[in-house]
Amino acid sequence: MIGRPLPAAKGPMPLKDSQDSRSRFVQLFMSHEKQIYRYILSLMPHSQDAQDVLQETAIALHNKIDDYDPTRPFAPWAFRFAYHMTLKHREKSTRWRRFLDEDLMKEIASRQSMLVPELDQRREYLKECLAEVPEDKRAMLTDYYFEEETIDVIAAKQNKSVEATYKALQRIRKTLMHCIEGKMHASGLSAT
Amino acid sequence: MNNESEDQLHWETLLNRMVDGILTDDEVQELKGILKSDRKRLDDYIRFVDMHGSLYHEPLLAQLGEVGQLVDFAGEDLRRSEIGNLGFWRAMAAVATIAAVGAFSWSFKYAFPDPSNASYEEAPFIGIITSLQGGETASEHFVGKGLQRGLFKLDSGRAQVRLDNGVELSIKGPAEFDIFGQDHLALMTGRVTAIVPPRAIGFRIDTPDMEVIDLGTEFALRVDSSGNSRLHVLEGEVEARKKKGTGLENLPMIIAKDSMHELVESPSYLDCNYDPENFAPSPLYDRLIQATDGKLRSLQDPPKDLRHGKFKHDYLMLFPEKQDFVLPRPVEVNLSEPGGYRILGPAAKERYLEGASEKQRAHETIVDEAAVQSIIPAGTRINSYLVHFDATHRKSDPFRAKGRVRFNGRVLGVILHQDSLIDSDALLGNSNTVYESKPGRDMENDFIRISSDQRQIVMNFEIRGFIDQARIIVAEDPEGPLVADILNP
Repeated sequence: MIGRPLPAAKGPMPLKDSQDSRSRFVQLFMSHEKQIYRYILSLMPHSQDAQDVLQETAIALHNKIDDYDPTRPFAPWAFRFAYHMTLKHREKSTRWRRFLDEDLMKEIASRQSMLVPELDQRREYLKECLAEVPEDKRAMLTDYYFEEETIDVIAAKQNKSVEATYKALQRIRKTLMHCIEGKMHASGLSAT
Repeated sequence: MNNESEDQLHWETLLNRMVDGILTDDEVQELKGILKSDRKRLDDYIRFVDMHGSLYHEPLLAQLGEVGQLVDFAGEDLRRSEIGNLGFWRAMAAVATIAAVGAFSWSFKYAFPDPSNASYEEAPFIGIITSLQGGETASEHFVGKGLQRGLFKLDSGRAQVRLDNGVELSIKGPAEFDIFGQDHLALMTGRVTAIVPPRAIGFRIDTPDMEVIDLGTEFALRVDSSGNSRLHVLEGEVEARKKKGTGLENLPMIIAKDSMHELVESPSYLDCNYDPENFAPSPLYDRLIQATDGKLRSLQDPPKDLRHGKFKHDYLMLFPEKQDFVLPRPVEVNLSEPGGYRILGPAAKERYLEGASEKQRAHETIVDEAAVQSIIPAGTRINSYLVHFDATHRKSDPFRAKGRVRFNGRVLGVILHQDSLIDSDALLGNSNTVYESKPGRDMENDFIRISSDQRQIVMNFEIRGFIDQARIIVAEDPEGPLVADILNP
């Protein structure tokens, strides 16, 4: 639709009617949201906290979008904000303060950036591996990751103990890691 | 992670307990020590956490829940521009073509589903009608109707259909086509314009005399009553060929929007100059809806009847009500501030307090029915959307659906409770829609999260034999003030 005149319309209108900084932000953020989320999660590996940091990062990016140089990649620029927002969020929790000192955060961020090509490949293999997971196991992953149900709820649903449910989830993750590692190894990409 | 030593198992347990948020203080210190002293473990940690994070966005998991196709309306154009390696996509399209040929014979038996088993609720479907304009009033079609494989006939007017892979079809009647699957349909007669997002590249339309395979594009097709087809590419590229013919026309040809006039030998089926009268109009998008996902579907037009049992879906259905509307009086909204809210009726409250973990409670604010977080002042220019949930489950069983919508404008407030909904129906609702007036329309054990930027709402609704509804009020002016600004000028 780019380049064609847009019909005047009230109510629903064709996509893409302006290129101001706000819509630029929304587009950039939407297309990098998952990447930024994973970056935050590597620093603060807890989904709810990572989501909170993501939202705080979104606001910071939105406020500073005019400073963004569009000739440069968006993700590294956004990561800087995410890093500082994670630092800020860390201060709210004793546990995170204990775990994440600044040296460790810098080290994780630095290694994460070096592993980007490998992580991209692993995510591709994750899709393939996930397709091989039996349906009942995949249902548990769906409950946990998509429905974001707590382990307590999943355990009750499956009529299992909480401990057994944690273990089952751990086994599925382990299987996935093995599967990914196997594919990396087969393609000669394994780092181990 | 191949080493099965105790040390390795302990390490894996630490990783799992970390992402599940159940590490003890001692374990936190232990993990920290390992990460600081062992580079290999640090890399393993990053790989593990990256996989964990990726699973939150993995569509395969959502599909198991029968949905989860992210429909990112504004993002599609962006992604389209991100397609750099067209050679790769052409290869993918070729693979898709082979798959589609195989799918044809398989799907033939689904082309004419058994009428006794054709109810939308029970049969698998692959898309939804999001808009119907003009045409027959006694049509079998209605906004929100799910599409199954099989024949689709539109006698007159215009329909818009969204397939589950994100393909948007605008259809101008009279038109008749056979849906083989979300990747493949046959247009027997009529006019169809398709916008195909990158993830659905390879989408194919057959006509009696040609086939068109999308390579990331928008294209328009017309088939006249004699079965002769005309094609125009509005954006991007398609691969097209005549099924019969002479010369090069029956060989696949890449046709790009920008090079239609430069083809050495222009195929006879190609309309190089676009005449909108000859084709179906481009599919429309709601300018305020940026994206939806999960078990939520957005419609372009409102349904006719929203009384209990009249518009049943296993999805949260979102549609526009009053648009670009200036409030003549102040409107109370139950929620307006960012955060996660658990809305509980009296019966559900007891169940929730018994069942919810401390962690869950820490992330949710319990809201009772009388909550009013703010009042949107008279004179505010707004757009109203209603989320309606009336599933096809047995009344005795609770039924849940979770979905997300992201708006281009700021959410000024959400109306949830029965009295406020009824009170605002006349003001903000559609004049042609019948709303439920019986008691029981409000929330019982439902969750809503308003994002910090007030543009996104996550809903996790539970129904037990009656409907759930939420009215979302979105600022008309995307530059408009936050509710906090309105309340504290």
